[in-house]
Amino acid sequence: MAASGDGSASEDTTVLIVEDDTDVVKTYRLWLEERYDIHIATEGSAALDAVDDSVDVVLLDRLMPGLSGSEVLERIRNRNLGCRVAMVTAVEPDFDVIEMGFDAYLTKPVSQETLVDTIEKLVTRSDYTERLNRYTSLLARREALQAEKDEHELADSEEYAALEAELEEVGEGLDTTVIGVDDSGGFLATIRGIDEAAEKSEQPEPEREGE
Amino acid sequence: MYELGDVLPTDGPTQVPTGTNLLIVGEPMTGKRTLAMEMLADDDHNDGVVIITTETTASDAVEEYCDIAGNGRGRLRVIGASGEEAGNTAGSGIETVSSPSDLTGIGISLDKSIEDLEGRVDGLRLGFDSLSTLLAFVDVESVYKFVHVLTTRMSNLGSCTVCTLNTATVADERAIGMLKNPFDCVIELRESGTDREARIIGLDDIDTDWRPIRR
Repeated sequence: MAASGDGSASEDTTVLIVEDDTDVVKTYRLWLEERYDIHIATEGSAALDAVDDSVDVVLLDRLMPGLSGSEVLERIRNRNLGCRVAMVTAVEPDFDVIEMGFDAYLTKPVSQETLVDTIEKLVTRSDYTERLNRYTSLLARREALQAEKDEHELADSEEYAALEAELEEVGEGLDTTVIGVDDSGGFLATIRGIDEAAEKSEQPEPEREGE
Repeated sequence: MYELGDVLPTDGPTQVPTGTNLLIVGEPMTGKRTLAMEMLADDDHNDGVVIITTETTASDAVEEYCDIAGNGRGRLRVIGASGEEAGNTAGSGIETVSSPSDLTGIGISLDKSIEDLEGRVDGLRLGFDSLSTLLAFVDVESVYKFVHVLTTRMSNLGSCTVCTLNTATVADERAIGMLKNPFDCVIELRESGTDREARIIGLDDIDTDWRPIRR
């Protein structure tokens, strides 16, 4: 195998391959099955059945009979699953894949190295986002405690001490996993994820559909 | 290192290391935006400047910056995210975003602006006026994450970033505490009698006392 076995992702990473060309499926499986837990779907609706919270990365063929890649993506996003979705396409897309909601795109023919690199990158981004979410809620909790208690109470608080310790630990990890946002695609996909999860107010009222 | 000029009340010009993120906080009318622009504009070094504005229109920000900087228009890119942009801005170094709540749009415009400057400039300075506007549209934890990712990205690019935060529009002390967290340095501004004062927290070798700052 060309790829070395020391990547950060491991066998507990689950990859769903959505592809209607059985030869391509065979190749991907051969390349990936030693490193990842592989699931296969040969068309869009099967992909929607196969995707759940255990899936980390979806490799999604853009053009398939039945549901297109874009439709599958939209339904995955609507279900708020945490998985990352890479679009696999025969031609370089003429639209902004990040704006569309994809996390990456791959142009066929895809090499083993590119495939593995992309999966690793997307797993790193997920780790980064999870860590940032954790850090943010710890920080919010710390600010709340600081608002409630005076200095002496904080010094005596076991919860506060535990919070401080965990903040430091998670924060250090955040600094070292900056590769989650060190490229333009990672930066934008991470921001889009934050944007999608944000609770927004004072948005213009959505147009009412005829009820 | 980035030269920030002699606008801050330190002994002589202020320099900050590459990748520094600074936050200016204060009540309304304490001169946060002007100070931010002065810090972005001290530039004899062919630095590119990107300004994200949620407070004024992009063209007002261009005008205000050029009044302060005197030159450097060619190295300036402005992202108007107040949601009140009007007119055709094509080809003028201006990107527009429909609303301050459109974090993705702000990110994409920033990315485009940086790419546009690439190869033509040495350093990169980013101004964001202001973070408090975002809080009117988006929950504080999401704003925090956005700012965290933004400042991490800008640090990685070796830039110098100056953001502003209006403390009067952020009712919650906890929100202010959280939003200070991603920054290396916080500059607090206040009015004291007829004087305007600043306090700088987080820069090496600079004391943290309140000192008068010029108007």
